[in-house]
This record gives sequence, structure tokens and C-alpha cells, in this order.
Amino acid sequence: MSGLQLANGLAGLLIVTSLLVITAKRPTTSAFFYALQSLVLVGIFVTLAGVTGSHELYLWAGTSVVTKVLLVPILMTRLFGRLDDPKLGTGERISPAVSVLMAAVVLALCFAVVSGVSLPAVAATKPALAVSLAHFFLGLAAIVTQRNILKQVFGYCLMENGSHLTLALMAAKAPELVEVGIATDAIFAVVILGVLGTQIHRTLGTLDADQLTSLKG
Amino acid sequence: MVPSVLPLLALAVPLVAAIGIALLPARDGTTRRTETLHLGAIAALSAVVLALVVEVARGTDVSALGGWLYVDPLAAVFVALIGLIGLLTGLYAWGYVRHDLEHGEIGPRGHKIFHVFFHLFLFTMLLVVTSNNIVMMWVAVEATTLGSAFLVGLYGKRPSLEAAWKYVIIGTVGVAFGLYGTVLTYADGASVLADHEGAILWTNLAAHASALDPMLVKIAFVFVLIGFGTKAGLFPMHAWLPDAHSEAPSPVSALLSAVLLKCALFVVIRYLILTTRAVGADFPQILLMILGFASVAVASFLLYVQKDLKRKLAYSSVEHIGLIALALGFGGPLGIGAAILHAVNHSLAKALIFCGSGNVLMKYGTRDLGEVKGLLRVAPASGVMMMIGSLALAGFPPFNLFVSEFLILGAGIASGHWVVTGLVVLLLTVTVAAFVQIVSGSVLGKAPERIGVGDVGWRALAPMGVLVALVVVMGVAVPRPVARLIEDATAVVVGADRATPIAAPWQKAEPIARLAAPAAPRS
Amino acid sequence: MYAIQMLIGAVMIHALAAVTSLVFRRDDGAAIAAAGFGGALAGLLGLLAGLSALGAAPVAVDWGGPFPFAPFTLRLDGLSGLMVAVISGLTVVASIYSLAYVREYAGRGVGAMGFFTNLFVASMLLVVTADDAFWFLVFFEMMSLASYFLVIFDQNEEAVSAGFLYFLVAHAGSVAIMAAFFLMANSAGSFSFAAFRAHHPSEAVASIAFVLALAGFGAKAGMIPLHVWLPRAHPAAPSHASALMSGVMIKIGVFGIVKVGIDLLGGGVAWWGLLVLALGAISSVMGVIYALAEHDIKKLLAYHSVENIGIILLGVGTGMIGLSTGHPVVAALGLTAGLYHLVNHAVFKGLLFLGAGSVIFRMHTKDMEKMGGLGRVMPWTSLSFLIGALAISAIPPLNGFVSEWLTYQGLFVAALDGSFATRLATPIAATLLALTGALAVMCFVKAYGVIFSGAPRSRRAAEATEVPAAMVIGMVALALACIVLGLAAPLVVPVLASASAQILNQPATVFVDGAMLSVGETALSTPMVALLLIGLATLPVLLGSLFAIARRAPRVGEAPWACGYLPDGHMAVSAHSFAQPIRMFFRPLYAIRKTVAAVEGWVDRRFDGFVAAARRSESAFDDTLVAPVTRGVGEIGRRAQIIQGGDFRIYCLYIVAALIALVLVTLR
Repeated sequence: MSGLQLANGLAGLLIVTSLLVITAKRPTTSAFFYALQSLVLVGIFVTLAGVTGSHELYLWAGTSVVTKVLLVPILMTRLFGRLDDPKLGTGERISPAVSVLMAAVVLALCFAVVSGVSLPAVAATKPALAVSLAHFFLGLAAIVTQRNILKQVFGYCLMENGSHLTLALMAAKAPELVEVGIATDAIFAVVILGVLGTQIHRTLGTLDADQLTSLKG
Repeated sequence: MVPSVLPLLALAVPLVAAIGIALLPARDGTTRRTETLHLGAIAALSAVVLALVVEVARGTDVSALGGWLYVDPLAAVFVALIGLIGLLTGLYAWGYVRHDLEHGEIGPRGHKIFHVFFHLFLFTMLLVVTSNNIVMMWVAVEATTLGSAFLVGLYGKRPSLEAAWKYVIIGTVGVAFGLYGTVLTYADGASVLADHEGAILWTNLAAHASALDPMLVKIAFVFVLIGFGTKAGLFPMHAWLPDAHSEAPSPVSALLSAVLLKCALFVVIRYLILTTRAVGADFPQILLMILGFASVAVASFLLYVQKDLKRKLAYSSVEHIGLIALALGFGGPLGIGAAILHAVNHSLAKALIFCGSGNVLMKYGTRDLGEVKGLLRVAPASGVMMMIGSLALAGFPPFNLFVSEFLILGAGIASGHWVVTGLVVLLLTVTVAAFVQIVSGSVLGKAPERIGVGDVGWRALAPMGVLVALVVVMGVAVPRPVARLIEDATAVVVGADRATPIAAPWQKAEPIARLAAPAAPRS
Repeated sequence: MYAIQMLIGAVMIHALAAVTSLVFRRDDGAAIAAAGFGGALAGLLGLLAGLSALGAAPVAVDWGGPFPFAPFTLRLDGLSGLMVAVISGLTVVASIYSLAYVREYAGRGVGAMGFFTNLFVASMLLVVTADDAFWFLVFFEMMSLASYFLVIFDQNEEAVSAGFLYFLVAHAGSVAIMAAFFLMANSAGSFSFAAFRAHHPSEAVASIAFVLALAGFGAKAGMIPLHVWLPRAHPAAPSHASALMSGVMIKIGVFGIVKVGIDLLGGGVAWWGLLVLALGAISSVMGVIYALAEHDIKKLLAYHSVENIGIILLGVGTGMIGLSTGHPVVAALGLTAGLYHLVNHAVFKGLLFLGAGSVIFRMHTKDMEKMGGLGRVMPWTSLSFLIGALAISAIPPLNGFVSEWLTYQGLFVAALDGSFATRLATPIAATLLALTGALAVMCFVKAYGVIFSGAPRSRRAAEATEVPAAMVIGMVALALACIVLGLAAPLVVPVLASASAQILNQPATVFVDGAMLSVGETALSTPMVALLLIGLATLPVLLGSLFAIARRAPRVGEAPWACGYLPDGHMAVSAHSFAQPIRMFFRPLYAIRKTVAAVEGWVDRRFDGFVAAARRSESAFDDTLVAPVTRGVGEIGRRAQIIQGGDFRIYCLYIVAALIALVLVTLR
């Protein structure tokens, strides 16, 4: 039982790290916080694996260490370190304080929604489930509110971590290969967004999403 | 379910081709070798796909990888579409990309990137429709976005990069919702089925659908519809579509519009089957009708005012996907059969006209309908084929979309949705006006002085000729094997015995019995 | 006996001619020959098929066909046989005419023209014989499509914009027809017309279906107020195609009204007939008045098509009233009159368009003001045109008179005996028909006079010569047909009457014997009437030749007195001077045109107000029906473009909004 509480607690920590990712000034800092967050996620996986006895989850934790704690942050640091748009500044549309407030609102809403779910498999981990859902929407909020397109890549990563946690909570017994597939997608998505971001920086000379609105109608 | 190597082979061919082309160096001298490899690969793929589809059409559902891959008649329809349109757009790309290379639109590197990702894209789409594992299915749909992102952004110019960025962001955000639907379905199934591993297979879920929790199934279907509906291009999740379709190279636009959207729709149909068996048909039908009607309504007006040829065609895709969703929402054997037939027909016509738009770009260098005039005079073959494509998409006989639109409207009346059907008919008239604008404004008329007379090369015209033939054949007389396959696919969806002829529900038993026998002249 | 086989043969030959013409598109002569001779041959076969079906029992053949939901069934009965005969008959003539006429278009794609002309005729043949709603619509749309390509053949600005308008109206019409068929199919349980005939929907549904069909077919027929496309589209097509469009294609609209109203829905309610009657009356009067104001010869003829469609509809409407109120005599008389005028109009309007084509062939202009004096240099054309003009003006003993006479009879008989509405409506209709006749005479006196008599008003008119033999043959054949159909009315009427009896599904008992039309106390013999009228018409000539000629002063070839000025061609009475008094007298009616426009504008303004824009954009067409709608649609479209604002972050929010909306629908 305490294992599940630990998992719920760690899930709360995810929200904190994701706020750090969103509010960080530089992409490399964000990448570092993202690695930290992924580490927390791995912790949750290990805890859940211990509690449920699902050997698949150990494997998930292992692949997550390789991909999310190491590979993706390193890739991001390499790709994004060189990109800079001084005119853009932080590219925030809303202040960090508002971000925190919004996160709280999203979290509360997700708790409300999850409390309505009656699935025996997740009865004990409802808080974690709520956090995973909230995390997903926080990532979405980051994409919608940030002007810096690199932050949007991080937004995508947050969404992905959220759905990954949901998957672990609800589908812990799923075959490993499935998890490998999802992780591979995530890596490729980051790589492709990184390359596109680099090309946009090179061609348009900006990282400002507000400049990417020429196609309309 | 019979294990077979064919699905694996179908996946392997494009994957190997992509890797093979990727390994070739990207220099001026190697472009011919890349083309050879490309043509060989699409030829091989179409052969494998043909074998696979014939196998399924004979009545055996094929599986591979311990049930992870599964091809039933429903999947076979979409596999066949990917194979056919892949082959024809691949052939078209042969001339088109070479033209781009010769005119400096892309370098040897771009040439190579195009071919690598073309095959990768085909691979991911084939994975979507052959997958029986629902999470794999999601992974594959996500992969289609990633596989085609560089194709959309191939030209590396400002608008194409912008389109690619929007495409990837909206695609991944939308499809992420689909993952929630997938996971919910799996968790639901796992709590019902004794075998946890088995709950990830669609066939097992479908077999035990009635035991699933109704509320969870409903929520999951909403997420699936939103998530995969984004990739399918349903309003209001369609926003990436006009950008990506218009900025991609024309063969890719054709693939995106003709096949990719249908692949996402295929996933929606798979979940529609589950949901219908779990909670009855009413609930998913209402949702599909809402989104379908909204898509038709908004797209027809946007289509009408659009002045950019390829954006216009993109909105037409939204409209037709909406029609298909609407037909699925009308339901019944007629509605489902009409939806599948319309999916096939739309693919053929849309591939044709996007290739035509490529010819327009090659001749005029612009997509602005205000500047494209007199295509028929400067490029007669392209002009005629553009005209046929436009009229087909406008829903005129003797072209194929007329037949399926007729059936869709018939399904609407038969299912008692008079008002919706009536409004759709009016909206379709608006789209007719939009396509007649293309015909009368751009295909006919006087060409600008600067455009020299002379058609584009045969490499670009030949595949279009094949598409024209298919558009007419499917409009005049659907070949018996094709009709059988579509009927079987309909039977998969409605859960009836195989070989229910698609007949109007009004049709009394007698003509159906007569039609089951081979049609012979009775004079 | 082999009517259906001959029909299929005719369609096949048309198809073959179409393809051959396209194949030989590089060789103009071969293409013209293939299209012309093929069309003529197919037309002959079709004519035989149609005529042999006229007296026979209905034959239906089911080929199964490629689509399981819609067996490909053809049916030849009285109505479709008549239509096949009319279409094919005119096709023969137009094809022969085209052999010479199309040379005018050499080097401009005559192969495609032959292709579309033959395709057009073939699809018309199949429309009238299809016995299944699906195939009917297929061929109906193909007919519109093929004729669209004939309209835009010149590819100039005017033709393309006329074609666009035509296409939209035609398509909107077919959509309305499709809706009507769906309604009927829903209660009949099948798409086949046989089922439609057997199972009629409830009165309310049937009425909706009929009104929809009336709108759809009315648009095709060029019935006012759905006629806007007609005066623009018909003149744009090549003349032999105009002849086919005006001569037979618009009759498909009438055919459809008869088919749906009488054949499929069994006559229905009395107000259907009254509605048709009213629309017919309006179309006939307004059509001829608009024609009077025209200077363009082909537009003038096109407006006369509107008028004549109105006259046909008067007959059909009378027939429908008779059928629904249980007066078989009225029904038979009205429908027979309508069908007779349908045949006659095909003949004389075909003739007039071919005549106009011949004039244009030499003059290279459609403006009548620039012609004049052509009667001397183009005698055959002039004579044929004169016969056509007399026929359309309902001058005895030509065919136009006979059918209008029958129409009057139908109206009078209906007026004697019927409900209050019928008794009120039919005399009014008869009065309007009389007015129409008078104005039509005036209009054609003007048209003939301005084109063929007087002094040439341009150098081209002075130097014109007679057109080639093939064209003359075509025109003379139709002129002879006008005379034969007038004089042989006693033989024609029974045939048409038996066809209409078959359509009405009632025995042809009203005919006491083959030629006697007996109605209550009055007995009226058509041959007697014809003889009398021939006598009346020829009497002055006879008297004149006996007494007058000898005493007439010799004709003087000197110039007329022109108030002291030197006379020239422009002083002769022209189209404009003929029309001026009419325009003055009927100013209120021209004002109605403006008022109708204003009403449509009112609906439209509400529509525009809804989208908060009454922008008056420069429209390509000066009509009032289509332009406002397209403008409204465009405005909505431009408003809708706000959705696609370009910011992908907003797009992401759409997805969330859609999710929330659907979840709410789920949880409701």
C-alpha cells in the first residue's frame, strides 16, 4: 500500500518539474529539468512495478532511462543549444505565477474527472492518474501559451510523459514491444521537431510562433 | 485467421526500400539509381499487395506476427488503396520530382529525402491498416505524421516549413488524444478478458465487446474520434490539412489526401465496430453525424471562396471525409457500404486531381486560380484530365463519386435523417459551383502569353491516365471482385454474414435475390 | 416489335459516332462526317423506334446492370416513344445540317463538338427511356454535362459565364429532382419507376415531391421564373446544338413534369394542375414579351422557347386538372394538346434555330439590326424561316395553329365544367394564350421583316449568298414537317391521343371514331377545321389572284420618299421600331420583371443582412436569381475563413473544444 502512496507522491512531483520545464529561461535548462522529470517518471514505474509485480514495468523503466533521461535531453541540448532568438525573449505569453495558478486549476479539474472513473485497475492510483491527465493538459497548455517554438517541443514532451504515465497506470500488463514503439515515436518526434525548428530558425531567422501564421484562409 | 507471410512482406518492401535509398549517397550522379530503386520498390509493393488482397478476397483472413498483424476484408480495402495509390503517385513522382530537380526546386539531397520518406510513409500507413494491436495502431498513426513531415517541408521554403511545423504539432497533439482512447479501451478490455495480453488485440476486443463497460467505451470512442479524426481531417480538427496539402509536393499531396486520411478513418471504423457492439449503434452514429455534417458544411463554403488550387482541393478532402463520416453515421449496410465505397472513390479522384495540380504547377509555376487560365489550350491532356477530376469531385456522372454520393444520400433518407440529407444536398451544390469555377475559370479560357504550348512529360501523364480510367470504370460499372470486397468489408463492420449485397434498404427481397445471381441480359 | 432493340442500336451508333468523331479530331472533314452521318443514321433508327412504340403496349427491358441497387431498365411507352421520336427526328435534321454548318468551326475542335453533340443526344434518348430513378439521374446529369460543353464551345468570356450559370441551374434542378425521387423511393421501396407507379406516397409527401420535381424540371424547361439561364445559354451554343437544346432538351423538362406528375404520381391533387397552368400562362406571356424586346436573333428565339414551353404547360396543366378532378375528356384533350405542341415546337423551333444559324453562317453576327434584305439572296432560308415563323405564330394551316387550337379547346372544356378554381383559372389562361398568340405574330413579323425583307443594312448582308445544300435540306425538311403536321392533324391527333390515354391510364373512349373528337354536345372534326382554315387562309390569295392582280398598278422600283432625305437601309423598319410601341404599352409588364427581381432581392437582402453584408459586388451576370445566391455563399465562405486564421495554437484549442463538446454530448 505504501508503494502506491509513494507513486502518488512522486506523481505530484511531476507537476512541479513540468512547471520548471515550462518556466525555464533557456532551452538547455528546460532540457535538464525534463531529464529530471523523466527520472521521477522512472521512479514511479519502478514503484508501480514493485507493487503490482508487473515485470514489464521494469523494462519500461529501463527503456525510459535510456530514452527519456539520457537520449532525448542530450539530443535537445545538442539541437537547441545553438538556436537563439534574442528578439523573442522568454516568449511567454503569461507570467510564471499565472502558469502555476493554471496548473492548479487543471489539476483540480482532472481530479474531478478521474474521481468519476470506475475502473478497478486504477482504484488505488487515482491521484496518480489525475496527475498524469493534468500533466498531459499542462503540456498542451505550454504549446498553446508559449511563443517560442522550442518550448512547444517541450510541451509535446510533457504531454507524452503524461500519456506515458497513464499507460503505465492503466495498461501495465501490455506487451513491452508496445512501450518500445511509443518511446521510439517520442524520440523521432523530438528529432523531427528539432530539425524542423533548426530549419525554421535558419530560413526565417526566428523562433517566434507568431511569425508562423502566413498560411491562412 | 490464417497465418501468412504476405502482410510482413508488404511491410518489409517499403521499409527495405527506404533504408536502401537512404544508404545511397546523395550526389548528382546517383539520382537515376535512386529512381530505379524507387520504381522497383513500388512495383514490388504493388505485386505483394495484390497477392495479399486476392488472398483475403478469396475469403481467408490473414494474420502474421502471432496475430499482431491482421488483414480482413475491411483492412484489405485500405491495403489495396495504399498499394494502388502508392504505385500511381510513385510513378507520377518519377516525372514530377525529376522536374523539380531539373528546375532547381530541390537538390540531390532533397531528391533523396523525398524518396526515403516516400517509402517510409507508405510503410507507416501499411502498418496502420494491417495492425491488429490497438496500441501498435496508434504508434503507426503517430509514425505517419513523422514519416510525412519532411515530405511536407521538402522545399525548405518559408511556407513549406511553416506547414510542416503546424502539421507535426497539430498531428501529434491530436493523435495524443487518440492514445488516451486506445489506453482506455485496452484497460477496459484487460479488466474483462482473462488474458491480459489478448486485450491489446482488436480481434479479441471485438469478440468480447459486449462485456466492456459502456461508459468507458463511450469516453474512449470520443477520444478516438477526436484523436484519429484529427489525422482524418474532420472539422474542427482539420486545420493542419489545407496547409500541409498545399505546401507538399503534388504526389505527396495526393498521398496525404487519398490515403493518409483514409488510414486514420480506418482506425475510427475499427473503433466504431467495437463501440457499436458494446453500446449499440446510436451513440457513435450521433457523434459521427455531428462531425461529418460540420465538416461538410464548413468545408463547402471554404472550398467555394478559396483561390489557391491546392488549398481548394484540400478543403474538398475535408468535405468528402465529412461525407464519409456522415455515411458512417447514417449507418446500416447501405450507409457503411456507401462510406467505404466513397472512401475508395474519393481516393481515386483526389489522387487524379492532385496530380493534375502538379501539372498545373509544372506549367504555370503558380497555384493561384486567378493566374491559371486556359490549361486546355496549353496542355490539352492535362486539361482534359483536370476537367474530369473536377467533375468527378463535383459528383457528376458518369464518374465514380456520383454513385457513392447517391448511395450516401439514399442512406440518409432511408435512415430517416431527412433534414440533414436535405442540407447536405444543398451544400453539395455549393461545392459543385466551386469545381465548375475550376473548369470554367482555369481549364477553359485563354492562356496567358508567357505560357508555351506543350504538355508535361508522359511520365506524369500516364499514371493520371490510369486514374482517369479507374474513375470512369468505378463510375460506370464497379468490377465484380471490387464490389465483393467492399461488400465483405461492409459485412465486417455491420457484423452480418459475409456477402450481403449493398442494396438500398428499400429494395425488396426479390431483386436482391435476383441480383445475387450473375447479371444476365433478360430481353 | 423491335422498338427497344432499335433504340439501343440508335444509342450505340451515337456512341460510336461520338468516339469516331473524337478519334478523327485531327481531320476536320472526317470528324464532321462521322458525327453528322452517324448522328443522322442513329436518328433515323431512333425515329423508327419511337414511332413503332407509339401505338404499342409499353415494353420494359431489364439488363441488370453493374449496380446491384439500381437495375438498368429501359421502358418504351407512349410518352417515352413520343419523346424518342421527337428527339431522333430533330437529330436527323440537325445532323444533316451540321455536315455543312460545322465547317464554320473547322480548326476549333470539331471532333470534340461531334463527340459532345452525339453524347448529348444519346443521353437524352436514355433519359426519356430509363425506368429507374438512379439511371434517370445519371443520364439527366450527363445530358446537362454534354450540353454544357456545347454551350461553352467558343470559350469566350460570354460563353463561359453563360455556361457557368447554365451548369449551376441545371445541377440545382437535378438536385431537386433527386430529392423528389428519394421521397418517392422511400415509400415505394425501390428506385425503379415501376415501383413508383405501384406505390404512391401519402398526399402530403407526394405534393412535396411533385413541387420539387416541378422546380427541377421547370428549371430544365426554362419555365419562368427559372428561365434565367436559357436566353444566355442557347445562343452561346453552335446553332445545330441550339436547335437540339431549344427544340428537344427543354422538352425533357416538360417530359419530366408529365412523367412525375401524371405517370409516376398518378395525377395527384387539383392544385398541381392549376399550378402548372399558372406557370404556363405566366411563361407564355412573359416569354413573348421579353422576346419582343430582343435584337439578338438567337436570344429572341430563346425567349420564344420560354413562351412555347408555357403553351405546352397550359396543355399539360389542363390535362392534370382533368385527371385529378375526374374529367377524362378534359384530361385527354389537355394532355394531347400539350404533347402536340411539344412535337410542333420541336419542329418549328428547330427550324427557326437552323434558319438563324444559316443567317449567322453568312452574316457572322447575331444582331438583326445589321441584316435586312436577305430574302432575295437566301431564298430557301428565307422561305423556310417564313414557314417556321408562321407556324410558331399559330397561323393556319400550319402545325402551331392545330396544337394551340387543341389547347384552347382543352381550356374551354375545362372552363365549362369543373370546380370554381378551374372555372376561374382556365378562361384567364385562355385569354393570356390569345394575347401570347397576338404578340408572337407581331414579334415574328418584326423578326422576319427585319432579317429578310427591306434593304440590306450592312455590306455583308448585301453580299450574302444561299447556304450549302446540306443546310438547306435540313431546313426544308423541317418546313415540310411544319406543313404536314398541320394538314395531317386528323391523322396525328389519334396517335397522340392514344399515347396520352396510355399516360393517363384511361381508355381512349373520348374518340368516337378515329378522327372525331366528341365533347358533350359539340362535335368538332379536325379535318373539317383544317379544311375550313385552309380555305380561310387561301381565300384572300385566291380572290386576289382572280380579281386584283390584273388591276394592280405595276410595281415601281424607285426609292421611297424619305422626307426629302436620301433613303438608306437604316431607315427601314427595324426590330427596335417594331418593339417601341409594345414596350410602351406593356411598360407595366416590363416593370414586373423589375419587381420580380426586387422580390428575389428582398429574400436575398435578408440573407445578406444575416451575414451582415449587403455588398454589391460586380457580378458577372445581370440576373437576379443566381448572382445573389453565389454572392451570399461567397460572403459566408469569407466569414468562415476566420476559422482558418493561421495560428496553429488556436487550432490546437479547436481540438480541445471539440473534445469537450463531444464529451458533453456523451454525458448528457
